[in-house]
Amino acid sequence: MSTKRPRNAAQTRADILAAARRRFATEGFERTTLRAIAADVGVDAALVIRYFGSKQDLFATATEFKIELPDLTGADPDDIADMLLPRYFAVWEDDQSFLALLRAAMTSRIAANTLNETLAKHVAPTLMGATPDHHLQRIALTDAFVIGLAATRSVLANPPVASLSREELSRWAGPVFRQLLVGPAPP
Amino acid sequence: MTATRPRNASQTRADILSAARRRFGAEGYERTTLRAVAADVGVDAALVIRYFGSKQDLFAAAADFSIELPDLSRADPDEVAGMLLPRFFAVWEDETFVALLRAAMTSQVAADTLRRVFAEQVAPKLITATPDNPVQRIGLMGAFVIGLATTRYVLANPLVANLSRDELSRWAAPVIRQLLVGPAPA
Repeated sequence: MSTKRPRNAAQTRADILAAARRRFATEGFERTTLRAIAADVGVDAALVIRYFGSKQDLFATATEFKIELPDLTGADPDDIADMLLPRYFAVWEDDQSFLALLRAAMTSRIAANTLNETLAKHVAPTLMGATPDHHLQRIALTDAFVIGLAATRSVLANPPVASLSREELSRWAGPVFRQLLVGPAPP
Repeated sequence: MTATRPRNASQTRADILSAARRRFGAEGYERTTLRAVAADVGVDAALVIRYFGSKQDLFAAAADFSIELPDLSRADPDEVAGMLLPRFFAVWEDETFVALLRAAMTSQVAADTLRRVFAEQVAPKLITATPDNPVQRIGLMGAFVIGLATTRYVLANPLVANLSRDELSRWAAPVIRQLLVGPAPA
């Protein structure tokens, strides 16, 4: 294949984003260069800049993930974990943008802030539909649990967690979500 | 201070280990070089190799830490969380652990080290508390503990990082109780 193969813009954009996710995930934010990403795709760095802007802009686009959580207002406490977990699984296991962001966030302040802001903007408001009191504490611990499940299952691949089926993991995670979000506040 | 100031071997070893932790923690395993670690301390890379061996050996030495967890076999279920949490905080606030955790997210070698620490030092103690389903209970506990450490100390997520130790412990305790000794879910 020649390096001058014809491309269409949409495919090139998609290729650049995929290469950016790989680089940011393995090398972190600071060490990744636009030039290296461009070289991975076989294009010029100027093209990457034309399409996506600065490295920080490219990072924001490449790691933007959607998490669609259901409205939890008025949900039966026993149903909350089952309403949330399938959505979380879709993000942890199938969304390369999220996994790239999580890895990059471990060694980069900018990436960590992006992840923290995404949780605050897109996850916290939904969870707050369920929490009866102590919203900050409940959401903080729930975020910690979710990040821990994602990290051990999809990034660290720690055998006890990674080897559980989704169903098995959900059964055991269910009571934790229930306790943290809607259970009695600890004394 | 000159670059050739006198050093004693044990101080130099300690300096190298602490530089290695900073590098591995900030840059991950793959990108850290022995030369950079040596330069941080003002010694030659050959000296680092003489003291510690390969990069992988240095990593193992730098990430070596012991977690002392109490025996839980006769613990009252209501006391298990209170027995564990102070030990967890001691580990999380140890720079060696945080360096290992950061490196583990981007390196297979570091992830293996973290898994080994968990399997050899943490799981056997936690298992003494579990009445049944040890794999599930220990696995979810590991996820919870890693999640707390990651959000509080690495990501510095304001919600988690701003909780006092006391507050965090109060909210974590029922989760630890449920996961380790609570009723198995239906």
